[in-house]
Amino acid sequence: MSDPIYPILKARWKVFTDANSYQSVEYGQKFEPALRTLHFRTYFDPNDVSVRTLASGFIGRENGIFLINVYSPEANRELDSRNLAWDVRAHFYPNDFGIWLTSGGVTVRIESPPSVKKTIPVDGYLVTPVAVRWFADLLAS
Amino acid sequence: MRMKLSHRSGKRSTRASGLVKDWVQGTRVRLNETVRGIADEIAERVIEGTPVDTGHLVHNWQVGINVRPRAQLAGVDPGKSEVKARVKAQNQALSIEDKEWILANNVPYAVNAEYIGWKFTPPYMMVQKVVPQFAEIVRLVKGRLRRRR
Repeated sequence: MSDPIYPILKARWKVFTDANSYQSVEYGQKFEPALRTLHFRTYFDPNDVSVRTLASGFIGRENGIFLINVYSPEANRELDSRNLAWDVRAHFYPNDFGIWLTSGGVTVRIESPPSVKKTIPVDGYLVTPVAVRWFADLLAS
Repeated sequence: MRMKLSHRSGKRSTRASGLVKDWVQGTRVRLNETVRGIADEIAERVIEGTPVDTGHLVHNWQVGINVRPRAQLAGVDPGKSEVKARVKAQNQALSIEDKEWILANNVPYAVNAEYIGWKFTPPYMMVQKVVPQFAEIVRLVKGRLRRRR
């Protein structure tokens, strides 16, 4: 059920990373970022049940949370990590207004501002999680 | 004549206000049951989604009503049964007049388990997985209570 949703979110995410030449690693990918470099870690592999956040709320409708972690080297200030997290938030919720992403008859809606969580120090990085809540209508196809 | 009328209307209004009072009381009881049911179901799902190594993280789920629990509890509960019973008992004090119901975990690595994960483990998103299920939980609890009545 979720298969058509993640490619839509991934495409939107790619626009952000390509525009800024950011490194991004999806969970499960074999990728080792150079030590202490700024990068993002995303968790939207639909086959990984442990990170799936799907709920059968209504017939033909799914909703879930797409998590993006901003990994900023500890040498940078905490503010940098948070600023980037707010950029991610703005990318998925531009002008404080939601977006609709449509592809292949499926519409993914981001209707509430993504939530920027508290920054946590982890292994030499400052990590700021950003949780993007999405809704999808699947009957449209 | 006048007195009689006012006497009658007074009686009627007493009966009517009694009915309203009963309705208000009944509605309050039903709402409280619903709110507690929702809290129980949310807590149950969050606890179910909590990973178990020693059971210390599981053991530390605590309920706060209008006040955030700040302490870290000593002990473990790998079977999850004790914590579920404790949380359910704490939820019994919840009512619709309360402003906040807080499910807290004060173990320092709870944040890692929720958002970051570890080198070979993705984040468990214990709470975040339940957030999108809220509408489903409300419907489930309402249906469960309707069947019971």
